[in-house]
Amino acid sequence: MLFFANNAMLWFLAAAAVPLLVHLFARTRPPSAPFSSLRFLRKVVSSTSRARKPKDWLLLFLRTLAVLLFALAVLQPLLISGDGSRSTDSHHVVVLMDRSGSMAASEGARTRFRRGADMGAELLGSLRPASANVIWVDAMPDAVFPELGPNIPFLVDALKRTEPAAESGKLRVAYDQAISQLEAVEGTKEIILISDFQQSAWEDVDLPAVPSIKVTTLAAANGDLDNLAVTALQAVPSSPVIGQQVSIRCQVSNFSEANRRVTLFAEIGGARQSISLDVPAEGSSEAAFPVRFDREGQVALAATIDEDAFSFDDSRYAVVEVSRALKMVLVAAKDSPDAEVIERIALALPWLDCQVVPDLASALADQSADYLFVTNWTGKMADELRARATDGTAVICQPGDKVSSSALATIVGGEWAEGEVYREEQSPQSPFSVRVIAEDHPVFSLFASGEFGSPADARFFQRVRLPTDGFENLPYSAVLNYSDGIPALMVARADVLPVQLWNLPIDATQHTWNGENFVPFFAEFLLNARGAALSSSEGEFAPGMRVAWEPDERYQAESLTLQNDKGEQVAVELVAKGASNELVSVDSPGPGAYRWMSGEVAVNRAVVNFPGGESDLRVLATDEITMGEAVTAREIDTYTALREGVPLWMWLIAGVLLCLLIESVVARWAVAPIEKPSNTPRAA
Amino acid sequence: MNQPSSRYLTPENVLRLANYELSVKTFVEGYLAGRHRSRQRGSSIEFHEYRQYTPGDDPSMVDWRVFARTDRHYLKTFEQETNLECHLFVDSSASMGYPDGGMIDGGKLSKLDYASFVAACLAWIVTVRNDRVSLHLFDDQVRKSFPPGTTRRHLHAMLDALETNQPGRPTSLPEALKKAQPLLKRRGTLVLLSDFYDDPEELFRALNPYLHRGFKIHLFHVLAPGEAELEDRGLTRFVDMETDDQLIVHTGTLREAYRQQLQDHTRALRRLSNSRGVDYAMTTTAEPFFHLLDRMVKN
Repeated sequence: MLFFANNAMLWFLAAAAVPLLVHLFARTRPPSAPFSSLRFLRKVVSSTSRARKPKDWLLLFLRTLAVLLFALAVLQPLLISGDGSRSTDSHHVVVLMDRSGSMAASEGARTRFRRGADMGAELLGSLRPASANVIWVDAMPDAVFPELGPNIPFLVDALKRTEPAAESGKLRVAYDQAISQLEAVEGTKEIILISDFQQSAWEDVDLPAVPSIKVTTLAAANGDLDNLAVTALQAVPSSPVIGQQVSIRCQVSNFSEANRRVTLFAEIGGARQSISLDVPAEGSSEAAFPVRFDREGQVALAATIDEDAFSFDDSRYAVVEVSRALKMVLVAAKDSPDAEVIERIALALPWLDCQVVPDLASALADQSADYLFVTNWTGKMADELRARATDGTAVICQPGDKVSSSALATIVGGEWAEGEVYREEQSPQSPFSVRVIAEDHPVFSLFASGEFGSPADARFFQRVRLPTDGFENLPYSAVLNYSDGIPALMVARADVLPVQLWNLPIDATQHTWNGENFVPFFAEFLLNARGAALSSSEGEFAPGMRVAWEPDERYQAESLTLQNDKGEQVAVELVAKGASNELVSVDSPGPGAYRWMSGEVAVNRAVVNFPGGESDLRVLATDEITMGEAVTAREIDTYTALREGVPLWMWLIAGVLLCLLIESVVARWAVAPIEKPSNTPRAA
Repeated sequence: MNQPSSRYLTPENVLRLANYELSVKTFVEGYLAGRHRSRQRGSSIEFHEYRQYTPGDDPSMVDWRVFARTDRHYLKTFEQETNLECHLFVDSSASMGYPDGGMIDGGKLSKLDYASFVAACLAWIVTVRNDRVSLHLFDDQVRKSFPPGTTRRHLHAMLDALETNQPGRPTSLPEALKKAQPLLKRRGTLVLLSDFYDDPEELFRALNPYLHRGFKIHLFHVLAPGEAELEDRGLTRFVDMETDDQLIVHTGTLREAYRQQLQDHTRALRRLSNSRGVDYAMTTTAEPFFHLLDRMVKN
């Protein structure tokens, strides 16, 4: 769109009519002159009129065009893109600047963030809006100004000073913030969204359009970048006990179109191991490092791969809390046969502490339990049990004869066919027997050698009959079944919550299990029941969050410090939290392992990991960005120039000169002579 | 012979024309040898003189008797008799009044003035040799005609007619030539002075009868400088001097085409003249007219 800087001279456009007027009126009164004979002139006129008339019109056109271009040049036109909304007193802009982890990727000499920030600064400088603001799109979006402000240079400076964060970007929060700020002002409004438009983060983004607000997207990325990242690190089980076999699982993902081989290093409590991994294109590979811990307390884990171009996600950290013993809360009547058996087993297992509570509500109130074993469950508080399992507690239910099918369906999280549930008893002459359904299940790995007998080598005189219809649709595996197909032990699959169903009698009078095979089987079952709980790492903080710790009474909060893995201190502050105090880092620290130090002793650990979603550095193509007007990094100069206004006067003057040049050529252009005699001899 | 004085035959011109008196053999060559006495040397019955042979002379003219007596080569020369008749045609159409030459009597020299100068001089040259000259003033018809004559009175009458002659009606040279044909009883030399704004083919069709009768024809094409080269005066309304027709043209854009058109016209005249043995010369009123007389002498 054209914008005239010198509108006062608009009347000058009328000068374009001068050549036309001259052309029209000059023909009316030409000077008269006698001539001997018009014979030749008439011939010439008739023979050249066909060529001369277009030439006359061409000359008129060129002269008119030259004057018109000159008049336009006087008006000082500026070429402006879009709707012609140049920097005016009523134009308001909010820049949404993506500073998520993927923006830290380097493309050439600059990161995506730096390029995007420069683009934003350039655009703000050229737009010169009446007011503006910059909102950072990160884990906790915040704005430079509390509301739109006129200090554009400050915003430009902020864009130039800020660096990307190893966080995920909460775009919707930032966008809503921008909308609310723009709705508070009058005039033309614009959101300039600067991001790398990371494919994984933007594919499903659907921001609501606001009619009164124009959205311009600036793509800061030049294209896809290949990347390898450590995307998972966890201990299975996540809270092991001393001496327990623990698997440290590391996952490496390949965000490229080529297979890659990488060396993975695992640092487990100071011990370093490595393994070579082949990672398929656009896939991931997992490595497991078996380990046993010989003392209780926190153990720092770190997994690292060879450093690549995007190094922020080449390491991952975790903390494992190794316990001396696991706590089981058993819901059973005091001095009941079941309680007696379990307590005896707990005495036999050094890593298991058992506490018997008479009712389910009391058991649920104890948040410190690693196991919650509900005997003779009647189907009550199914939702609460499931929620407890969600929090990471291994919940084991022994159905009673009063449990309903719906309660069973609730606890297992699926559709369980309606059916009668009742207790069955058999005489010692015809007991129930069980058989192993899934021999390869970890529960039975200990018994593969036969040293500990077989869990199925027992007879049972009592059971609860559970419906079997629809059992195959449940996210469960039956590892032990009665001989008639009634499930005896149902273990949840690894990807669902760890609520296990124990349909075997515990009372020693109801089965023929002896201590030699029952205790190991029960212990293996308990350990694997926790193994399925893939709870988050101890002390892990989401990127962008501040690291916090509420020390107990053993420590004096003021004396505690926070150190990163290089031994550098991180600033913390003491925040009152109810009756106690909480130590919180002043800023959100970047990815890494952190230690709370009391003097020279690490008393607690925390980790911050690079957000997994930010490791995929592949970006959307320009035509895939459906929001607003999309501008790429290559187009920014032109776009900015157009938004600022490209002065056209020199081009118009050049056009005037060109017109005059052509006009002179055309004016001198000889009219084609009339047909010559072919055999005319040359004049002497 | 008393020197005549006229507007077109000034004493200065006469003085200069004296040099042409002995050099007009081709100009007034007659069709009957011996009919009139002539000072031209040639074959005749009237003995003139003996003269010594010089290389290039006709050997048949060597007097062998004298050679036998004197052992020298002498030529016996005789006076030649010729008929002398020159017919002058002066175009007096309106277009000949185009004033764009030098100055004469305080006014601009027109093409008619220029042609009149030439005609007057030729009439004088022929007359002083006692040869016959006729004059015909024409436009689209013969306006005034003087039959061939040799006397001074006849010359003065022709000069007076030239002085009083004014450009008049549109040109039609072929028509005028057709009408003049009965007036020319004997063959001789025909001199046409005109701007030749006629179709060349038509003109030569009108000249054919004269050529068939054995006339020697000279075409003197007289143009004003402003006609030969169109002056760039921008947009101009031209008025035809013969028809009063008007035409508005931009001279700057047409100059080249006009020049080409005129050149084609003169080429056609020259081509037809060459093919029929007619002498053709083009001149402008800015040039001295004596070069036309020189041209005739050379021929």
